[in-house]
Amino acid sequence: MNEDKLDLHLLDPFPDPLEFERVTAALTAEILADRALTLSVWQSLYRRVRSAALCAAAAAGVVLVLHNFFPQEAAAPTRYGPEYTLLTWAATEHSPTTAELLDLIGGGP
Amino acid sequence: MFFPLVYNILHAPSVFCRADRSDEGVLTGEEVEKLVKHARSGDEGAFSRLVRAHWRAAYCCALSIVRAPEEARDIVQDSLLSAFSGIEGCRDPGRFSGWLLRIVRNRALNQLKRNQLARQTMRLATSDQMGRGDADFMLRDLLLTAVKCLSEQQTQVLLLHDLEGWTHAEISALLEVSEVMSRQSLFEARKKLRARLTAVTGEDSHE
Repeated sequence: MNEDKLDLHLLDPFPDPLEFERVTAALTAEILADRALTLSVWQSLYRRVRSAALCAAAAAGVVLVLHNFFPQEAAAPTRYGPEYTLLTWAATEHSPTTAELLDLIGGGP
Repeated sequence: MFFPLVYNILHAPSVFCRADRSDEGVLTGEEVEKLVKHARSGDEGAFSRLVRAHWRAAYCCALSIVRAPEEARDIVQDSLLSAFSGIEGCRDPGRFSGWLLRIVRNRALNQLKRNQLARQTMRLATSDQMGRGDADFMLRDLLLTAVKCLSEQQTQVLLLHDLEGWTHAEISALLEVSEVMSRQSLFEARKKLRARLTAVTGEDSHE
């Protein structure tokens, strides 16, 4: 089979082996530099994210501790809307004064 | 004028082989897998060996698509830089070579689509240079023109075997085809190329 071989050496991209060495060495250096840059970006991001996460965790811890030591005061009674008051008045046959009505719907002087 | 030069292409010495082919040889699948793992962990030597082992195969792949040596060289540089920089993207290190060649192939196909106009310009520049009477340049152009009659796979197999000195076992492993298919592609490629080149020498000797 080798007797049929065609001489394609003119298509050889590197007739000079030294040039092949030079090109592959330069490419390898470029690859390594590119990877180093990418890694440093990721490492820098990782460091920042880690610091932020640590700060957030510490703040959450402080809030949790404070919450346990100083429980919240009893919740203020819920303020009902004007509809509820009107319905209550209707149900109890209460006759509101003008002042009460104005106070309820917010049209007071 | 061409006849004696083309004769040299057609009747290559049987011992012809790329001079530095035996320096490192073609890496086996296991060797590639091991090197990829080392490279991922930051071993600079592993990167160097992988680049050296794949550069020429990648070039053959690119050249078989774009058929322009300078363009093929640029594609190889860009593809290898991109692939090796993101080597973690290769899911199966055992099939790294196939993964790499797919990247090269896709880039070459994209380049082919994008640069139709630019390539025409390059051809014009090439014909200008031919006028300078550089015999090697003319022969290389003749070879590239003749290679256009081959399919992509035939060209790849022909270049890897006759230019790079790879065995069919190595070619079949790289291109993920059977050895029989590799032999068949080489046989057909040589037959077509000989016919083309013989036609040229025939025309040349009639002149």
